[in-house]
Amino acid sequence: MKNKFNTLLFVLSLIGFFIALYLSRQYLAHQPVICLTGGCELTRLSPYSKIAGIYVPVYGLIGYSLILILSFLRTLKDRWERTLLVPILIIAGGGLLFSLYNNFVDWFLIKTFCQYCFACLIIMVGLVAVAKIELGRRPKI
Amino acid sequence: MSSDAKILLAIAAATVAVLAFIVFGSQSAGKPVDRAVVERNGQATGSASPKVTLTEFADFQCPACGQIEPLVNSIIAQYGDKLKFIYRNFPLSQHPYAFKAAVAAQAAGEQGKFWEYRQKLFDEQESLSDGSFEQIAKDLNLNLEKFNKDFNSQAMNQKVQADLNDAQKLNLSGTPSFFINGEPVNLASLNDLSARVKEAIDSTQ
Repeated sequence: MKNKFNTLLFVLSLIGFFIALYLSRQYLAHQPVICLTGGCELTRLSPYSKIAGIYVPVYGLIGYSLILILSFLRTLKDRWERTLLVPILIIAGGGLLFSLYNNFVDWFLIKTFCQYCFACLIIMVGLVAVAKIELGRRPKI
Repeated sequence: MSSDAKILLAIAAATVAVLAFIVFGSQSAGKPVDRAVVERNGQATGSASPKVTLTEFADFQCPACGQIEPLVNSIIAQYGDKLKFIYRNFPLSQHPYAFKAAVAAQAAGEQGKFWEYRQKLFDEQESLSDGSFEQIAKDLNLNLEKFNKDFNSQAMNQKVQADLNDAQKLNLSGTPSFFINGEPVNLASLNDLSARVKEAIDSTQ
């Protein structure tokens, strides 16, 4: 394996993708989500479950899909290894802010703890950290 | 294609395969729901000859169940003469006092105070402990000796276990799960429930 950091980006975004996929399915079907903390249903049923008329997990699905595709594309051409890192970092950074907002809403407005929202925050922190490290390792061309 | 690309594709394919196995192996989506399984065994209140039966599978330590309880109570009060409400237990394993709370409520039901006990459990759901059950029984002026005997009895335990078995048989993924006339109700928000009950009652007129 040439680039372990890129594999890490891919695996993290894959985990996030499947979490977002599961949640999107449950939200769109209006069905309860399996939840170890018990707070996920409060989040799903709250008025904060949508932003601009779109369910929150759908935004996650889009973000993780983009990072997943970009991290895969990086393996195809050498010159894409650095150029595609910048959009990955931008998307992950945006995702991190979005996750922070969602967890803030959970903790302070809905007053609950949603395991999926917290997992997404951790994944986004991981993605930003790995993308930043990876960017530092690759000199500008 | 580089070796890295192949590895990433292999990781993605393996993940999809594992998840597909888990999801399709455990799914019963589309299966018709057996109304008898939904509505048997529970604690019921409301009309004796109802137009609509609302069944809830809930967990006394589930925050969403606690949040929706005032709404459920207002629905029961509003449509009491047309509606029968059945409460069934789905204590989730991650909630340490949920099963005991369900058994305690059943024990209170043996003295005709199930609904009062249920209300207290939801009111105190964030502070439930081993000491809560007897304290609530005292607050409700229950016969403590009988309450403790029932609380520790196999029969009450089995009642809750029967509800839990039915919830699993119905493949419920979480709480609260509602059924109207045996049909699952999929909620997009907490307030959806009253609209769905009203719809069901209106459709019978």
